[in-house]
Amino acid sequence: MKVGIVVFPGTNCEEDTYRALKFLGFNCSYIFHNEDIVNLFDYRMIILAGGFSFGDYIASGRLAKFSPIICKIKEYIENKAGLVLGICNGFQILCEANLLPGVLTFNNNNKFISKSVNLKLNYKTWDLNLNLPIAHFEGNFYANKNDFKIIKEKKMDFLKYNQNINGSMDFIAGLYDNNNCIIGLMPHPERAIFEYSKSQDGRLFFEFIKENILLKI
Amino acid sequence: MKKNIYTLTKKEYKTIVKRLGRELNDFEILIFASMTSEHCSYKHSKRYLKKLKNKNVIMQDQNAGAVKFGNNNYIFFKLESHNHPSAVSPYEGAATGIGGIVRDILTLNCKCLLLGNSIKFGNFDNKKNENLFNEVVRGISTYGNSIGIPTVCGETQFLDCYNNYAIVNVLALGVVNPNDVILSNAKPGLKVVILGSTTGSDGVNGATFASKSLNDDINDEQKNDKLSVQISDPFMKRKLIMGLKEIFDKKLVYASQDCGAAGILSSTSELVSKGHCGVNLYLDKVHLRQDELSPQEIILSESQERMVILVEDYNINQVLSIAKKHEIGVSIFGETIKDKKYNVYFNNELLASLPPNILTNAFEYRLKVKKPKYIKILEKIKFEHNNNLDLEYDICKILSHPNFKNKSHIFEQFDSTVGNKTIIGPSMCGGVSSIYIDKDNILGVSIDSNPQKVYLSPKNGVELSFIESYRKLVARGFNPVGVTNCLNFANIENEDISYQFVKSVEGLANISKKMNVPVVSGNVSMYNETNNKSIFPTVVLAMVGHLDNYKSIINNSFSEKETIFLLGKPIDEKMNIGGSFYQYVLQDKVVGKIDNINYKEEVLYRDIIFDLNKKNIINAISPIHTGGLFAALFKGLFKNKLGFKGTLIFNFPQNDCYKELFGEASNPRYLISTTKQNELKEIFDKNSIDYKILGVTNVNGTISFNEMTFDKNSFYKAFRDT
Repeated sequence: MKVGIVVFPGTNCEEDTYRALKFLGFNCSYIFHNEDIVNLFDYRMIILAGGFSFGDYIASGRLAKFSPIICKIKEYIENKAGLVLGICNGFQILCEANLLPGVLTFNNNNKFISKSVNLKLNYKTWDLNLNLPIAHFEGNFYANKNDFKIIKEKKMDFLKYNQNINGSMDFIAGLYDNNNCIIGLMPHPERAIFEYSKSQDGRLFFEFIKENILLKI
Repeated sequence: MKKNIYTLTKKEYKTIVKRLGRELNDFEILIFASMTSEHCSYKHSKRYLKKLKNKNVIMQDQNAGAVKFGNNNYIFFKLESHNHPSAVSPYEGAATGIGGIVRDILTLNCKCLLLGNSIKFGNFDNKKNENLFNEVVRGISTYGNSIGIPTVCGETQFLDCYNNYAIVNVLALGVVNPNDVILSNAKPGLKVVILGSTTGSDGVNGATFASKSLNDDINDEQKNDKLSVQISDPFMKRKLIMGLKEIFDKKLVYASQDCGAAGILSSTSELVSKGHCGVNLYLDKVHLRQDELSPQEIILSESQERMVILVEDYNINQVLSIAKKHEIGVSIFGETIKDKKYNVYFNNELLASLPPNILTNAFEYRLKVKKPKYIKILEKIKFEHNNNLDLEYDICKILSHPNFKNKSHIFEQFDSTVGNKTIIGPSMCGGVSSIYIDKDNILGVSIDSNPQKVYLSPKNGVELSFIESYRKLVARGFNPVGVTNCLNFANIENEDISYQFVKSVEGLANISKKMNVPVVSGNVSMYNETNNKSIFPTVVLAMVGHLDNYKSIINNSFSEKETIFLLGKPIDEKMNIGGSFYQYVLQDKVVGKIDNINYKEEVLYRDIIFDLNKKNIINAISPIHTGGLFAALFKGLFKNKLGFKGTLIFNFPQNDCYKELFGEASNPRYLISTTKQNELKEIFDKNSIDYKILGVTNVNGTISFNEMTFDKNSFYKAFRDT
């Protein structure tokens, strides 16, 4: 299964994601954000990897949304060509680009937080307890009334922290827009794959994605 | 620009004139002032640092040294100080400290795998110290996290001697295939290229500024000092990392050197001096941040995120296009030549023409070494603790001391999992961290320092620090293979300080030879004082160990119903425990003597532990260091919130048990937990190894020993709560 990993200047999790997905049997390649000759339709999944795209200057993800690759991703989504997955900075970019509702802002302790957290993944018949690492400064999810209503109506809040980690509204750690095939999440499932890592729950997460979404697209 | 030549003395000036056979012009004076500053030239220290040379180290003369790690890897690593900038501008100082050490590793074409830090401050009863602390941590966090390298290990201490000051030492470690290393030796006929950020007026004279003592009272000078601190740009660094990787991978670079202290000047002069050739530099060709920079400022600017690379003519175009792709600034501003001359031009005017070897090798001083009075007094004082014991209260006081307790509020601000290779990250009980290199090569790393002990006895204090790192690695199954150091001292021209320095280096050189763990690299920072108060000699060591399978890592926390063995001798009346942590915590005293290390015994214990690990006889090990026997037991119990029942005091009456409970002696001691006590006992007996059986872990609510019982939760709470 072909997966494209988008690289902006300042992205820093592209290699981590590549190694993890290769280990899980995906066929990965990097896509540099301003490459002209790229056809996203070749890929079943496009991943916006973690990091600090364009230094996260002004606000995280705010500059990346103006990159040429975002237009291509919008086209990819409209044509329902596959899944778009944003991890950490990728989630921030998706929110900034209005591809997912809400915003991600500074953690409520106003500090970077790097630790393992317990999460609940809930979607249709799937009900998983996950332990995954988080590493972010701007992971505090907020949505206005209207957006929050949409999230609830469409049951987009598929991934939640067990505890209040960073101040996120309703403990939201990730969103899944089922209609448009877009997932965004703050935790790093790609860092919980290898046997030597503290947790291997990232495997469950990608299994969920494969079984539930990729095999159905 | 203001002339700022405070590190070049009249005598030094005369010597240079004599060697050169002519007077210097103003521009050349500035060049020499920077290059002969302590920071760049190590003029007071290099005579002594030669003792640290070791033939097992690879490329000791490069930006960092390396050891072989498995069959196909070199591991380069180095500690570096950024104390002076951090004291003046803590956020930028700490951030650019990381930036600098990463460049040292990057320039060799290494993949940078981990970062670490050792940071020291005064106590929080002073607001300024708290602010310095918060800003330094924020600086490390913002910069380190952005560039995508995990911060896996660290050490933080708060002591009065660091009042109004900050010690910021940072570690970077990288791995490279031996065939791919890029050196910093030039040859004639190459283009000199500067890559990365624009050159601005920040950090001009940073090297000379870092070679003097800071003083709080002089405001004007402080304002000047602020200008000597560089500004960080982690985003540019990330782009530089990505761009350089592509340039290096395509083998477009002949030699490379990072632009650190004294900027373009020191990087280019080192390149040509190592390559025994010369260079023509055209400073007007460098890409600048602002117009109207003088040639002095351009050559001395310490603007961050810049690298100098030497490139063959036919590769230039490819380098330029890769730089463009990654949005990195680039300019070609010189060429290397056969003639051994360091020529600097600005708008076609020749500003300086000097032999490079004088520049990089001007002076070497000898220091006076006489045992200071204070040591003679302090080592005679015997630490007594009064008999009016409130052991529970004192234990809580030790466990809750900021230098001992849980530091999750610090390390949770550092991304420790990016890179996807972290096996052991930072944890509440501290200790060794571990990174996956490949299937057969697992790396362990420990970072530590013992300022109080080195203050009391520079040589033995350093040896004990060294051996504590060694024991920590051994306790988790890693075989120590190399060490790097950062030597932070006060004013080296003071005789007490020069004694501390020379003896510390002697200790390090001696034990590294004895234990066969070579010193691969290092850094010296002098003049660490404010308002004429000296810091304790702060010798930070980062040690690296090797293991061939991550499954062989030894646990560091005990489980339920295990028997705890003490491997080693319990402390007795004869042993010295100078500088032990509990003395400082309970009575604010730093007194006593430190015994010599028994090197053979250390190796013997290492071999026994590795053998026991292979035979699966042990479950977990907690090495005994800061806080002594009790602290090691506590750390072993903490993770699984266990209780304990047994004996900890063997050689002293119960009302005089502190030395045995908390003392830190020089002999090796490890706590070992096992469920196979008979087998373990048999092996120890057969090999005539010193040991004691201390007791058994349980899930009760108490920790009890020698008929004293304590509520375990009060201890856990004291340690955990921040």
